Amino acid sequence: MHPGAIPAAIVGDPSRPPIVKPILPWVFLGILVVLAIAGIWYGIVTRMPEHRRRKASLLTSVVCQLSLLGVFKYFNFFAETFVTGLHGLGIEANPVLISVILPVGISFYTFQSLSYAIDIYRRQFEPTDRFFDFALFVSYFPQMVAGPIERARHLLPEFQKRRVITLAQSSRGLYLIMLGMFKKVAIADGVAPSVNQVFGSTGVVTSADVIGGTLLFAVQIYCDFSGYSDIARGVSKLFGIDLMLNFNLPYFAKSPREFWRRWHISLSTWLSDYLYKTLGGNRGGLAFICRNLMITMLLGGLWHGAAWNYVLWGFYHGSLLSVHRVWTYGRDNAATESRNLLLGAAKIGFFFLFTLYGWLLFRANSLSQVVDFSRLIFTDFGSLDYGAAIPRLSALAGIPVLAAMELAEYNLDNRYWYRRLPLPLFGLLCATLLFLTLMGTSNEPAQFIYFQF
Amino acid sequence: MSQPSSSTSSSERPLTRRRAALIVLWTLLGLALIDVGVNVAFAYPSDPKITSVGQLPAYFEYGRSIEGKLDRITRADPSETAPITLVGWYEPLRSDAIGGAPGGPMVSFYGMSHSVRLSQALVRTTHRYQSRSVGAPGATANWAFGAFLRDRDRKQSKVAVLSIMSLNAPMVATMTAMTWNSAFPMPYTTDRFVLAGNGLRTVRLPYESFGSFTRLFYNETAWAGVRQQFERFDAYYDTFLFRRSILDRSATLRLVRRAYGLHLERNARARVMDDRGFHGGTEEIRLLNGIVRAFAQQARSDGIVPVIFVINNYGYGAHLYDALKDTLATCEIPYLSSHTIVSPSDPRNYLPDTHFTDTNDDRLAMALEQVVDAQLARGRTAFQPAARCPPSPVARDTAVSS
Repeated sequence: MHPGAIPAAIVGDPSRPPIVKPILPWVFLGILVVLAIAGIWYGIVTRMPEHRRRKASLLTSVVCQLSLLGVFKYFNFFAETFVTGLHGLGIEANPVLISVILPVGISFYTFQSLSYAIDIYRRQFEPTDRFFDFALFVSYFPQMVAGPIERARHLLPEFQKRRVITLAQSSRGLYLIMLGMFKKVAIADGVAPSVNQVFGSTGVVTSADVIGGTLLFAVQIYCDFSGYSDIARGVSKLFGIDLMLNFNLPYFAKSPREFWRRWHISLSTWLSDYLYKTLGGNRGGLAFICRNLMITMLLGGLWHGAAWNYVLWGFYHGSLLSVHRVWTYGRDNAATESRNLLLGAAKIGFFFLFTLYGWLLFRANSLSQVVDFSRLIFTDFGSLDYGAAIPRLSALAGIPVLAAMELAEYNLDNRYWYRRLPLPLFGLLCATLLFLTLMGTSNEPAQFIYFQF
Repeated sequence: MSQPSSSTSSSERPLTRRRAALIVLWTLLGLALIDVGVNVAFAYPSDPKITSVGQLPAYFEYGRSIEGKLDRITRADPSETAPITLVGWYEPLRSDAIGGAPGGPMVSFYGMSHSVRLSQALVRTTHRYQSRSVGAPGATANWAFGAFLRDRDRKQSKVAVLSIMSLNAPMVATMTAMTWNSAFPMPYTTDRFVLAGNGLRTVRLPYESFGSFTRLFYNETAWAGVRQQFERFDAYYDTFLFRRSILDRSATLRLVRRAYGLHLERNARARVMDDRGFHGGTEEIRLLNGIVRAFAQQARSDGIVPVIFVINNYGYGAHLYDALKDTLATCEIPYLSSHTIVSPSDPRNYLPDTHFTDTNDDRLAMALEQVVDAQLARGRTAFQPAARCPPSPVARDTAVSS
């Protein structure tokens, strides 16, 4: 374990008010310590034979961890919703709200810690006695604040094994860091002002603005989030640690099911393993499966943030998955997989439109904005004037480069496609990425979107 | 398509040290190729008189050193130099008669383009006042006050309007529009005011005209002395950004310098303000208040009504007004703060180049007219300093004067 990892992981947002800044890192550290103690205690208890104690211990661990998440992330949201509901019934009440800064990465390390407890309960993983290894698992700095959400059965052995850092691993790590920086600095930060202008506008917004802004947000969130994951994986490789793949060409998905196998893989597999399957998964009729899908995606949406548009986004994706499940129920997916390139491209394009609308729900600042923007693009399609800012030059040049790279990866069906390139061409590719990243360094820096979750 | 494979194919060769070194070499060679390609494809015109430069040549030029850019745009002969190098000089101080009612009371404006636009709007909206403007592109509050002090014709005015805007309020501790505007440096100089007790001390550069600037700029020893003054007194001076070097030849390294410049600018701005407003204890905000106080006292002693035009740019709320309101109230200085007329949170009130729309300029001018009317109606009492306002003398630092 790297001794500096835990302190490095608890540094909060430096732009917060200075009065609370000196105190909060210790609060955050306290949360980590509590989580670590809860986890290790559970590991010890589960070695005892009593079946009931195992269950009780699991329940204790889950309740403790979800309580922390609930207090920090959802308390105000539910309190305000409850009071709004009371107002709707004509009952006057003032919500009791807590004023607290959301600890950085709490959603990520809570889920990570939960997976440890559940895996042990399911006897899929032997508990560890080594506190610092477990603490490092919870607070491992490259992925702590925005994932990937690692499983203990994968990451703890990575810490405990004797690590040999090879040239191939280091160079792959550097390539991933370079790629992640390119995605974030050149593209995501380059389109952010245009997106912010559309979704933050208090003035007149046209249909073209909404479509353009949503399309650019699709680019932004992918490059921002997958860029972070690439950097986290790249940094880890420099330490000889392999983190799981979190994104796998998500915009090449032809269906909602495929999308969730490609987008935020560590969250979707977590939800599948620990929520969907616990609810019964596919073991039942179509209605039962759809119910499980809806619950899973609603909670998955809520995981992102305490706001109704995230719930709506989860509901939307749950609906897409359910409709798709009904559509494909009883069919052999492999047999229906078309090899026709044009048809495949059409399917990708068609499903991408659904993905885009999902991003509108995700990015909207309020439910009223969802309604207004939806009206503009579905029923009140008026002006085609695009008045929002044009993305920065680094993004305009970077997007085609990234699209070409991903197309090559998709067509060659090989994540390491670039290794097949002749050295001069690969060198030119690296130079292009570096140059575009340097162009992007002039963009206004923006915090990673998933830091807020 | 099946899930992508993570396997490597037979066409991939294992990574050896030699191969890794070759990748690095090819990458560097690739960067060099792109660098040369950008320099050739987006070459910046060498003629300083060409003002309409393409967006891409301008983009890749931003990161050139300030001296490098001045080299490109400056010629000793005023007929050959870039027009931007000729504006904003204190010597000669240029004033523009905007027009208005012949024989009507004169209102003089000191400041940046917002100030010029307001002077024009005043003529459009009223037929009772004459308007004249003394301005420089992006003029900071210290430039405007320095211009007011130098304006020999100011005593012909009944009213003097000093414009201060939130966008460049943090740049009040600079000596020239080169340092704070490294992307588009303008060589004109400004008075640098330094807080001295209740008053201000003035630090001046050894040149205030285009002619003396070119003489110094092309004299390496003399220019080194000017740089030392910048280093000592200009809050935005940075050697890496300022000094010409061989790095100017590389498009890639110019990108690095540009990012560095923006980083410095963000830091400098963050030192003075955040989302909640300007930090009252900083030198810059104390200076702004000192300038406002000194301007009002000087104007009043000249028998002129002082008015402060507070320009709250889009996204800045009423932060600048908040930073000045105590001084304005204590010293009973008439003012017009744009936030009372134009919401600084509605982008529709502004043009893409950050100016107010024409309609809003007119509304501001009408509001200014009311302020001026009220002050002139008060007669002599408008020229009396408030009892609660401490005297704010302006002393000149001769150590750096010409």
